[in-house]
Amino acid sequence: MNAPPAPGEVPHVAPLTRQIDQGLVDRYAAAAADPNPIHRDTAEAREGPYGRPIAHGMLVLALVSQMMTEAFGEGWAAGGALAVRWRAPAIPPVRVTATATPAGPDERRLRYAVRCTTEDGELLLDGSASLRLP
Amino acid sequence: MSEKRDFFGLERGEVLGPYRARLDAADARAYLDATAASETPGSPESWLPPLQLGALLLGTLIDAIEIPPGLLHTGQSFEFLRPVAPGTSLTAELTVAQIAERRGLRLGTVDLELRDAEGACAVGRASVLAPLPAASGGPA
Repeated sequence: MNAPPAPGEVPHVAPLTRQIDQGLVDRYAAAAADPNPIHRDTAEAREGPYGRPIAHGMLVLALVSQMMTEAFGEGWAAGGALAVRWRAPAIPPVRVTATATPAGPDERRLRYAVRCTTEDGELLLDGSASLRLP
Repeated sequence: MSEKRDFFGLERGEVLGPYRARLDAADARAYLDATAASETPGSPESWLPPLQLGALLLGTLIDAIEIPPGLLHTGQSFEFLRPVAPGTSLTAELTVAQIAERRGLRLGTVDLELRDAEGACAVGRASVLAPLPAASGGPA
């Protein structure tokens, strides 16, 4: 976990990569009690626009939150914020990397631009993350 | 949970809830397993994974409304105001912030708030859209 940042410094946040396969999507559907059939091997998913199940957007976003948790620990739980838009569906199996690029501090928060991409470079989500300064 | 609301019947300013919830450490471990995440110092024993609070809020929304075919979750924000310990009694409340219809789509934004005994502990806003029923069947 990073030490408290010096004034004006936005600490580096290490990227996080995870494999999202259908087994993980199924576990997420159970853990999140999400009944949406487009995430499972169902007729709705097969007949949908992608022809197969897609991962939950919140499962992809979880990489961003985990990346920030690994960087800031409880500080992320005590004042973290996210704002994202999903740009494309994650279709399992897919290897996804979350990154955070310093976007500058202000008087109150550390700010980052965040994104999740596939190993082919497809953008799955982008947006911002910030952390309240102590 | 009371009867589900029709997404196409939601009105701006409508409040859904409150809904009561509780997440324990076992729930948190299941969430970490389901997101391929590792445990971090203090979590989940002392504080829940923050985005699990967001997932709880979104799950509450999914439970509260009838999900129409083709609904897309296009955007999301969350702010985690303080750590939440496993086993904390929580209350979720959802407020329809905006409703708009254009180009055959209904767009909705819903404010999400999770409270514990001290007040709001996580807040967020979900943006969704779905084809209007008349448009969902495709071109005539």
